Amino acid sequence: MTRRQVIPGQTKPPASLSRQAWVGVLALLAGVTLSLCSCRSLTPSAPMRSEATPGVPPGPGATPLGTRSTPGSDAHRGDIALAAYHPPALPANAWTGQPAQPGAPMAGPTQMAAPWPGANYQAAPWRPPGITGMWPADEYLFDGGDHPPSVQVMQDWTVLGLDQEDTVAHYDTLDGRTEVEASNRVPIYAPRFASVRQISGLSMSHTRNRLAGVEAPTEPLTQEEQLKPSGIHQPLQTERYLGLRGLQDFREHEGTLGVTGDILPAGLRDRFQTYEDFQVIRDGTFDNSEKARLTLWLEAAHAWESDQSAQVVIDEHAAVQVTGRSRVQSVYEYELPDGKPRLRIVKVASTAQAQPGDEIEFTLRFDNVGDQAIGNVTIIDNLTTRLEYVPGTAECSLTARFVTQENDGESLILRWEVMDPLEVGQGGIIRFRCRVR
Amino acid sequence: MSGKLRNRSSFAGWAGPARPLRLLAWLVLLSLCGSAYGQRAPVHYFHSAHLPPGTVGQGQLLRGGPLPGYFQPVEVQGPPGVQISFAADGQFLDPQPAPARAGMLIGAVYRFKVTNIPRREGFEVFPTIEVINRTYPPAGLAEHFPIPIQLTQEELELALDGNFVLRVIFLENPNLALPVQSDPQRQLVYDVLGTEDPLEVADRLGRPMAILRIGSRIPDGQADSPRFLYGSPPLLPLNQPQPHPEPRSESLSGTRTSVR
Repeated sequence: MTRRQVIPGQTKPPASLSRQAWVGVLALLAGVTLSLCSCRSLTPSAPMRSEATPGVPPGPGATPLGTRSTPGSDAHRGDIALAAYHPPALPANAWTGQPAQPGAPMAGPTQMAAPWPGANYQAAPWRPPGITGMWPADEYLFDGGDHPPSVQVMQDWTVLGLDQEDTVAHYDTLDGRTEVEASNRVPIYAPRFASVRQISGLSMSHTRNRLAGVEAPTEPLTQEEQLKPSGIHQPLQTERYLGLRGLQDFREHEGTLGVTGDILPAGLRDRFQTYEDFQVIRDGTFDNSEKARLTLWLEAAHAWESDQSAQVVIDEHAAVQVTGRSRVQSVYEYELPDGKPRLRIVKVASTAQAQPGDEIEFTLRFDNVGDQAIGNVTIIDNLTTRLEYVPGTAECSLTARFVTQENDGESLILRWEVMDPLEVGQGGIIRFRCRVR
Repeated sequence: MSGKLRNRSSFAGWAGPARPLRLLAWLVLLSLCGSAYGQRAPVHYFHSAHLPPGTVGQGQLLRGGPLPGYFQPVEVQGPPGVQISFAADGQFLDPQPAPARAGMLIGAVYRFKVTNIPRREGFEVFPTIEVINRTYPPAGLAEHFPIPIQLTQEELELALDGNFVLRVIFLENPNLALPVQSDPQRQLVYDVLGTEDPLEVADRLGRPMAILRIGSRIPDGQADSPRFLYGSPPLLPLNQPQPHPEPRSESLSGTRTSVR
């Protein structure tokens, strides 16, 4: 019998470790790697179970009807119902009409389970972690801002890079440059639903019929008789064929050859709407106390403007933005020896939510906040596809030429060309209405 | 020396270190496949609208998110005079004129009864609604923006004549929406052939929200049997919301657009 010698301080494993032990260690490591890589991505956050969830008692009042329990119905359901259908189990913190228990845990995404009035708490709608602004985007309409590529105005005032939803203004400075200013972006909650339909039914049937009889052909006995023709018909080739066929689909698209409308607005209504009740809209003075309400329009749109901030270029030199996108207004400053021409443009809407068919009134307030006069001020709003301009609703407080032009989304580009130069501190208001498609 | 050849595929002929390495390679490959499955896009391409009612909704619940326990407002619309009866507690409730509203759980199947159909008085249709997704409206506006489930006169008569009508209601993608003046009383409908999957078409056009199935099936025996009512899942009745108050036009003193 031999004895293995033990060397004090030796940390190296014995060289006689068997091959099966190595295989086992590698398989264990691989198994741990597999569980960390795949199982986490496949873990459902809320698997459905057929067992009744404890801790969700039926509530009175607005209790969901299905949770109401009577002795008779319990016995009835216990017989047959649950064998055919397993109703989804509610999570412990789901809203079921029962008043919230003090101290009950409300963590998790389902705490937003009852956002309508009548619930015991009101909270902001749920959104995925890391997402700010209006979510999901397919439930909102947006108007305003400047999508990339940013709008550029050529020397002949040709506008390039004007996308849908864009609202910009451009003007000329005393030293001959043309500058562009974008408005803020207005979100409107207006989901529109449609449906895909499929109708299936019996369209053809095959039946087998028994043979009822047999017809045997017999050899004909012919008799030829030749008669003189009494008349001749000359066949004529058909020149054309007229047929009636129902129209199945018709779509009209008229290309725009140029300006489709040229209207000079007579003036502006002498009343301000409720949603326009901001100092900056009334007289162009920006009041810090109104920032909270004004920012409501922009806080959600801010996330969507992460890659489309206003781009202002003067004489091929980028302008320095004084105020950021997190504010309601946008002010641009240019270090020029002749002065600092600036234009501020603010956009608000009459409502934050709309159904298809509703009308929304937009208000644009623009002001010359620089230290020199600017000229040829032009405000352009490229409407999105689901916004239809209501004809005859454009107003402008200054003398301006109003022009409409069809865009790619089969909506319109609205364009106001202010006739007179804007002196320092002077501004104007534009209003128009759109119908949600 | 015996010249017997060894079989290459025999385990006895493997070299020692190759076996655990190959095993490790297979396990790593399997782990990569599992990650790809978990990162699939949130569409229903693995499902079909022709699956049994409830299958698509249950699959949607497994994707996670704040879906379980949420009562999605749904509005059932129909021709004038149509009566709607939702099912709760194993029986049909009293009929109410369309439009009728209710909050429905996602993934559950709700059977309801349609009566007093114009030109077909005396006939009944028993459609089902399966809500497969939800909306995320601003706080307090959920009741004002329910999912509209429209029952047209044509579809009701088709169902009474023995046809099966399947509609997938989806939320339009604003970037793909048609520039048409939509009538709120008439939903935009895309008809597909029998060879196409309506759920896949709806996935391409927007976000599927609900599946409506109308057939000519009549209940065997009792109309309120639990199997026919899919267990009558919890239902939250909702009233017709009050219309939004129009914003008042306030006259501001000296505001002839008081522009400086």
